[in-house]
Amino acid sequence: MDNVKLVKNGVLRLPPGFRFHPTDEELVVQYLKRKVCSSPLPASIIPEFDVCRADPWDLPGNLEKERYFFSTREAKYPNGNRSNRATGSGYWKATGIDKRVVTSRGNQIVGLKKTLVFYKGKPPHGSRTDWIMHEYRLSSSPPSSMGPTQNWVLCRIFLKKRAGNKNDDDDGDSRNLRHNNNNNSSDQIEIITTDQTDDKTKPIFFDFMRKERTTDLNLLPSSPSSDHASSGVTTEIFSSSDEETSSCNSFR
Amino acid sequence: MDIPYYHYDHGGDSQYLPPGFRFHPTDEELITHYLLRKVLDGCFSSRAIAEVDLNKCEPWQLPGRAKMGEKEWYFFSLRDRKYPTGLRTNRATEAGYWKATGKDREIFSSKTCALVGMKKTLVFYKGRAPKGEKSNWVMHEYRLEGKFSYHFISRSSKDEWVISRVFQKTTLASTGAVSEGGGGGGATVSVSSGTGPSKKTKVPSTISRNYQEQPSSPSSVSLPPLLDPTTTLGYTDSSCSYDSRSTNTTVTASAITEHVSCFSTVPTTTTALGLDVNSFSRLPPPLGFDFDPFPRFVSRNVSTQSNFRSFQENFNQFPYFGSSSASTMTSAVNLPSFQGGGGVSGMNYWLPATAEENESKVGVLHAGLDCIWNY
Repeated sequence: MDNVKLVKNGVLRLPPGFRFHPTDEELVVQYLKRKVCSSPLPASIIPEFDVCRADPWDLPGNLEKERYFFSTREAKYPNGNRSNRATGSGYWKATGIDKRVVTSRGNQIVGLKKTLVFYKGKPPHGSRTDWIMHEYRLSSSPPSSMGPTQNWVLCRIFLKKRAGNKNDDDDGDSRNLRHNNNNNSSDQIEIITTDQTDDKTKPIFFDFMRKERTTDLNLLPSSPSSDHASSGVTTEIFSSSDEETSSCNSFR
Repeated sequence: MDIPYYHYDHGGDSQYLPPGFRFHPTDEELITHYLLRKVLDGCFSSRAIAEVDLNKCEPWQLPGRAKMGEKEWYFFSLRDRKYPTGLRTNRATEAGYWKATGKDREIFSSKTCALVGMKKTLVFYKGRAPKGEKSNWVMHEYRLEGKFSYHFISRSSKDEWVISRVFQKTTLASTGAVSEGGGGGGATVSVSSGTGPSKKTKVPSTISRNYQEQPSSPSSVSLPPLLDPTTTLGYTDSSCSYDSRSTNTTVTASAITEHVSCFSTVPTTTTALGLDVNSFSRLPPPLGFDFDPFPRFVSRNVSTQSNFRSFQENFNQFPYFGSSSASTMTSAVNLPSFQGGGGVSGMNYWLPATAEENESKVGVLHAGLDCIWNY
């Protein structure tokens, strides 16, 4: 009961948004090690509770958040460790290999981390659930001079969450489609530019036509010159007409 | 809920953070406890959230500017409005840009179930849009919405604060992020301001191109008019001089022009006579060219006939001018020779009439010879 009050007090001390969100190293070095040595803990936020006494959903605390408990490993037989831990409705079954907890600086092994999954029913025909437990224990045994000590382990229990990233991927695809549309519009702009280029060539055509018209005006004066240069027939025609007129004058 | 603020404001014990405790807020807490307070009080500062200009920092530089955090960092930043009517969606930095991805998610209050804010997810791309290279840096941008919308808060019309959470998507250790931060260190020049001018520069270049192209066509169009007015002016001057000498107004415009041209060439008659003799003696040898001017000859005949009629009328009116006008006409024929000219297309068109022209020329020759003997 005191632990519960302390936990509340601990939570209340912090501004909104701050939570107990420790790393593996912090759990082993700052809390489990001190617990084993019976030293004072940095914060009274981890209660003592036997995790095998109740089902995961019946353990104290907020179900939606990660919960931490100090628990003891009861040795059923002096020579070996039992790997299965039974509860009221099911059992915890170990999965995978125990991982080493290493410090971030000295790369020293300070503990071991075991991952377990909760199964409903009786082994070995239980049904798997999404409840996960991480069990932390020290890697080295305490000095024998300290006398008989309990085998404390630190347990983190939480409900596995399935993240849905498909929506983001689909949205990303739609973004790409929009991007493609932008490219198409830019192509259309290029087409329009090409049309403008065609329009610009027409004025040049008009200019050429106007020049030809100017040449046509010159044709009238130039044609008599070509006739004159080519043959004397034209000159003779003019001279004959002049003589005819002169002869008429003589008659008058 | 007031107790935490009370302790927080006084500092003291609350400054100490036991091992294992971190700033790990929910979306609702970010909106209701931090963003709303920042919008209402611009001077509000939190021990967990720092202020930063996201356009002047690369994502790998942000961890160094955060107040706390190991794998995710929180910042207050002002949402920059480039245009008063819209929001800029491209958030550029010197090395790249933040691009929105997915849909904006709504954030509701757990107590009242009312809409209090929106959350936008962005990913950082290295390079220039839209050809950037996607990176692992992710940002969650939180803004007020619903009853806490900026429109309902008068003060926020000037400044629009948002909260950004920045983190790396991969499972790389924080040491990796730190090393990237060191390597990524660079200038603090604002790229967003640089992007604006570059966009503006492109538009003027387009306008300048249009402007450059427009003058070219007017200049080409203006060339022909320069020539036509000159010719018209020449004719006008000639007609004026003719009217001053003669009182006959019944003569047609074409006749006036032709007569005026005769008078204008009177001084050159004396010199033209010599030229006529030379040209006459030389004409027979280049008989080979007879085929080329045949079509011209036809068109020339038509104009010649009209000239004869006008000359006959003038001859009746002015007996003595008749002889002088005849000699002037001869000189007029010489003048065009200096101009030269000819068209290939015209020649081709008139080729079928060549035979008939030859017969008519033979008859004319005989008549001409007889006249010469008489003279």
